[in-house]
Amino acid sequence: MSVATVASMPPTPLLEVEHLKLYFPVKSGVVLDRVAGWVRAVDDVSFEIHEQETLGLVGESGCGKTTLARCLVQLLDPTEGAIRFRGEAVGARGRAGRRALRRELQIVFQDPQASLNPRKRIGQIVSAGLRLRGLKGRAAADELRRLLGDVGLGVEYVNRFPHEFSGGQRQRVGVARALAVRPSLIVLDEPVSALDVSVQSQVINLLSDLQDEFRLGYIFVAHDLSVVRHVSDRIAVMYLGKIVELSPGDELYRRPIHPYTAALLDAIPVPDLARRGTRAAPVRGEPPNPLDPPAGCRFHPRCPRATDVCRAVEPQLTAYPSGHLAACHHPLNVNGGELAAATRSQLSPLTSGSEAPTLVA
Amino acid sequence: MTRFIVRRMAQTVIVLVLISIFTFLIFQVIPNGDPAARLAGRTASPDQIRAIARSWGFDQPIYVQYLRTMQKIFSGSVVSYSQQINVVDQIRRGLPATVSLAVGAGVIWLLFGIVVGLLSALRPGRVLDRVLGFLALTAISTPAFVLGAVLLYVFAYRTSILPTGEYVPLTDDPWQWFRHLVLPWISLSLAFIGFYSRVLRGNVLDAKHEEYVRMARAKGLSGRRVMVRHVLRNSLIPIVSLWGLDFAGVIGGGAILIESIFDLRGVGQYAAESISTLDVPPIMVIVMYTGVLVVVVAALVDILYAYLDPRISLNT
Amino acid sequence: MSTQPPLLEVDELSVTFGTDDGTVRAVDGVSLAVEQGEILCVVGESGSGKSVMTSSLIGLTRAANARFSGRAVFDGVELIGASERQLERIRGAEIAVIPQDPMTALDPVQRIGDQIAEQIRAHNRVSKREAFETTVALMERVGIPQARTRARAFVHQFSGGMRQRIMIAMALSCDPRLIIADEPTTALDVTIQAQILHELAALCRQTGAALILVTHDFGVVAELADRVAVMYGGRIIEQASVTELFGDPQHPYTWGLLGSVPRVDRPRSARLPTIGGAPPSLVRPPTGCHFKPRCPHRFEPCDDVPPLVSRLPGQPNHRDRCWLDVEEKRRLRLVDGDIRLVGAAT
Repeated sequence: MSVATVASMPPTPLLEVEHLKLYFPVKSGVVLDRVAGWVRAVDDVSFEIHEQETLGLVGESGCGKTTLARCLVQLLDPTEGAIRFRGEAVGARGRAGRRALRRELQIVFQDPQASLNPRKRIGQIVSAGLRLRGLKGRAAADELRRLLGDVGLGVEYVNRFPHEFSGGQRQRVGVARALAVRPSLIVLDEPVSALDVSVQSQVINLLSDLQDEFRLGYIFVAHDLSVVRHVSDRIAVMYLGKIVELSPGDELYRRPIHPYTAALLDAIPVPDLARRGTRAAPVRGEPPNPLDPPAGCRFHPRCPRATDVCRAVEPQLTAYPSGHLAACHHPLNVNGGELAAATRSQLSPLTSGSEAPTLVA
Repeated sequence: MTRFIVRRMAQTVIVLVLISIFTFLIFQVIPNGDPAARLAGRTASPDQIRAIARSWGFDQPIYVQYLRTMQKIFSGSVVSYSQQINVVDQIRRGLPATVSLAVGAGVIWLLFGIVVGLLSALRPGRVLDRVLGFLALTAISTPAFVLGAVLLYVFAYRTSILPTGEYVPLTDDPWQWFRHLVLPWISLSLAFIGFYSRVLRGNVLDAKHEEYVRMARAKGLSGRRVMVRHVLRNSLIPIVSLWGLDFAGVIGGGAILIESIFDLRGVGQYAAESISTLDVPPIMVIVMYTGVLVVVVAALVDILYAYLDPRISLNT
Repeated sequence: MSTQPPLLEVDELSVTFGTDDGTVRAVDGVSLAVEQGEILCVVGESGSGKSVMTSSLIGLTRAANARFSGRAVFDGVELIGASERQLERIRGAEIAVIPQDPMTALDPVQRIGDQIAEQIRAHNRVSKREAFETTVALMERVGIPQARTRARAFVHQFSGGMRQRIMIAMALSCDPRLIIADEPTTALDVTIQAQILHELAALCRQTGAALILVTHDFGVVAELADRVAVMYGGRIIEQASVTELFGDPQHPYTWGLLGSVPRVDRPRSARLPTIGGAPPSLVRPPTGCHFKPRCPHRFEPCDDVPPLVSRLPGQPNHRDRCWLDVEEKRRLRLVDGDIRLVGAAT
């Protein structure tokens, strides 16, 4: 796990995402399919990630994080917006260019059972990537053995089928498969959600070891803030298609700025008896319908601090001095000095207003 | 719902046009298909053939012939090549037999298919299930006309328990109507019973392992309650759409062989005769009539399915 | 402690069933007690036997050829080996179940109001109208808005949190004495989880129902439990009140579980502590203590199965299966003030 600071980041980001939108049409109409509305799964998201950096991407169901993850590895096409890899636009590449890009950007899926072909042996599954690198015969077999060893699986497993493994082992196979093509960035779509707690920590430790050894960047998608904490250099919190907070390192946990982040943190059950019964009332209500998101700040119907401006104006992504961004008109855990020094971030959605945030008791 | 109906109507029209063209074209390319020659008889001279061709319009380009045939069909005045009779009248005369055959067989195979399927599913793997499974396989593998012929031989020729064929209208003599249809019904139904019983058995066995069935038991419902209210309901829904389409096929004259063996003189038998004489107009009309029936029944089945299974929306 | 007899007393319950690989001993001599109105959390990972154990109490194990030994007495009635009719009377009325996944636990082609009402009518002689009114009242009580209209909806028309509320309404419908909830919030979002757990615990307190909550999450245990039982390899390896468990955990596996939870309330660590290795095979389990192969503190006596007894003079109801000396345990488990399983491979 590299703990990169803002100052030491190299100039060209590995991956840049600019005002990305993924809208899915909802069809209706009598004879011809007319588009009645759009599900705004990802609604103007911008961020960048550098070499060997880990970006945690957290949100609950319906926030768009999985859609975003799939779009980054070219499994879905964006409706609008740009994705650039090492400075070059992804959409502009031809077929060969996009295939080359797939070797750089890999993905590990959430469900280790569903994402491995049950009819193939795991040796075959992992070797597919080696063939893409041009390895054959003896060289491929050696590399296969090394890869399996790197993820903690002995070479004796090569001829087994996925159903003969436990969930944690299957997930290791998924990681080996992604590593086989020597990518620069791996998108991990909830890689440990389906695993037992002790196995989760094994896999998380494995991922951070591999990151150092293979010089990988990660985008770690999760619904759980506690899981991403130990792997992430920066963490982005999503709500209903938008990024509501983007924080460096551990700062998110010490001082969450957006009320939704605070609610998420508070909702995590902590194995500490002293905290029993002390938790504030959990955030009320249910996540709203992505077909018809609320006006203004999307979180306002569930936010205890909402005011008129929240109901009318979409907040900009405000950059606070420590490199911590938050999209909230009435941020938490921010003092007057920081507020004064805050600026509007370039990553703000195009539809956001330019009202500066104010402090509310 | 309106969207669904309009869509289906549009579908029906397109289907009809396509199959009418397709059928028409088939008969243009079949060897020995020249209707003028057949009309003229075996000893006709080329001049006589040509004269007949002209009077019937066979010398016109294909698309003109097609359009004229379609025009006649829709005005109800289609006349067949071989018999100079109005096709639509002939079909109407055959309908009662075909409908009786279809409705009777349809009810029989649905009921027995469900019963046999359930019996098999109650104790899967045991003796009854294996025996019924073997019988089902035999029933599915036996061609209906072979079965029909055997049954006829045994029950009508060797013995005289049942009549040897023909159709007696229900309005004339209900008992004879029934006696004449028993063997056709059995011959037609058996394969369907075999098939439906296996499908239902599979559905029931799957449903029994579903979580909601386990949950229903956890609520304290009796085994029987769970079976009827949860397992059966879910298992029967796919059977509905299967039955609808099979039934549409039979009532559309699809039971050609059975009707012919038992000489029921229904629509199917009419179709069989027309095919053997390459008589295009009746074939066209019957094909389109079947087409309409199947599309309409399919639409009704979809509506029923959507009503029974709320996860299915008519808009997909 | 209550002077009444326990609501449920399980005594040396074992469940085995045959598979292609051999006989699986999913539950191995489990004994526990649940008092009236108590919340007992059963903690364990996959393969620990926690779900098989709870299913066995109502005779609904998923394996068709399961064989049972031991006893489970609920309110004077022996559950193991009871007739199907007896069990049907108890299920849903005396002992109610909240399953893990509400989506698959509800019949997709029936209205949910009908499914709640059918449980009511299975145990009470009421008319359809009365059952419907009770259903609506229950739905309102568990926080489903517009209950009267929503009762006519189908399961796929509800969100995850709402579906679980429906299951809670169902569970409460006949005023059960005991509710068994098998990981009821695992499939839900974190913010909804917190809501549901709060509400479930509150409802239990209100109605006086006891709750057996199966979970893998120690945070949930800390929040809700009165007593805790930790299961591993089909056995209970530690059993205590919640204060005793968090204050003085006795078994290395418990330390491992507690340590491997990624925390948000403590400083970040470079490496997550974990438990090396994998859960034991239930077909050919290790001899002696099931945790022995993964335990960094194993020593000779571990070749014999440690009995589940209290080794702590002041805590007679705190039982564990570990041969280690109590003082030794207290020394071994602490690292920088944190409870960990030290020396385990990562």
